[in-house]
Amino acid sequence: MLARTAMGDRAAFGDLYAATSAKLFGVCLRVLRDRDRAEEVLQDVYVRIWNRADRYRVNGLSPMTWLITVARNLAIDRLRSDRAAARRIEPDAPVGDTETLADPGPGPEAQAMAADERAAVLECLGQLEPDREQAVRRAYLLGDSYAELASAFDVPLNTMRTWLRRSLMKLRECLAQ
Amino acid sequence: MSPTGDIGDDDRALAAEYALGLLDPTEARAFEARMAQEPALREAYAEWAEAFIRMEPDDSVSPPPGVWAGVQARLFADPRPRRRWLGWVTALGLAAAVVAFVAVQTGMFQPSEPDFRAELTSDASPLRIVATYASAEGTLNLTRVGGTGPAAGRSHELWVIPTPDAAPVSLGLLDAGEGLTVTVPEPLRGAMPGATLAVSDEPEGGAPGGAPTGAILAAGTVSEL
Repeated sequence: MLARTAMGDRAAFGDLYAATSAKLFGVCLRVLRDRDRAEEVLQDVYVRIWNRADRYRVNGLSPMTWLITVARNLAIDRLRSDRAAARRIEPDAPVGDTETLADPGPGPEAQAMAADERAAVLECLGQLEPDREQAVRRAYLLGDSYAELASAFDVPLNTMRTWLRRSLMKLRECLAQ
Repeated sequence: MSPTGDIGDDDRALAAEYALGLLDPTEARAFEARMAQEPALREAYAEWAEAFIRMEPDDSVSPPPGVWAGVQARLFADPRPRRRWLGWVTALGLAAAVVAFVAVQTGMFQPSEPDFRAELTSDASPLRIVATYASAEGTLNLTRVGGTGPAAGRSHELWVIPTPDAAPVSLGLLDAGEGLTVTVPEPLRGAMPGATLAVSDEPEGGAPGGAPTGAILAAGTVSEL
């Protein structure tokens, strides 16, 4: 569908929307936690998908990963520009709570993701210390920046970065096995 | 994840930070510039992106129909000629299967009491149409309250998009005068509340393949009165 969308096939684009919009809306809602803004960003997401469908292969991502990445990136951009605007008014704006980040568990995936690959990533995440696992999850799922993570975990920014980079390398070692 | 080329841990961690969106804008642009030159870095990024995607929870939520109408209005409500026109023509065959038989009667009977309404607008066109719908009889009444009728040799075609996932179904042409009364076919009536109505610019006589080919000039959602 993405390949045909890249050729300017509007029917394929409609099919692509039907097949993927619920997942991408979920991504926007998760990051933005605001229905109106998530709807606005979801429009931007599909406008960008239509305009850039011919370029998705450039980075070697699978189609679904590319689509989720477009949605996640636009949602995070919006989140950060809104937060920057909010901080100008209210310097101590909270970065959000961590309770919503419970392990989603291995429930059935809407997308065609190999269950064992998913299990491997969750397994390797589980091998990190709990707060570091939480930091990686926050970074991916909520799009937290280093500054936001440092404030959430109450450590200096540089410490946060060292921490996270180390956790990521551990994650990679585990996944490579 | 399979091991990649001969890049160091630092670059591998950088690729992960880029994939997570943790780099500041300057660092991110610099990383992108390097990725364009270094296939191993690109590969490392793709591996991370594919790994992180496995954290995705099953949190799908269907968006409201207005989102799809908005996307279409933003992308296809451009009055200039379509450069992607050829690709679209090949798609017409696919959509032909969903064309429903529609009874179009212009002013042949009095509509019953409407209980739904929709306002069809778009930023890209002055066309503005108010629709009322009487669900008991499936009577849809449209009145043009802004903009003008179709240009010479063109037609304005009315479509209903029952759900965001569904293909548009033609409800007829808006050519004559300022208004139109349409009897919505039985199978579509249940889907009318919350459906999207849209008007597209088409060749005279309507879209030849039964699916919209031209710009969406106005769109709106059917809501209860």
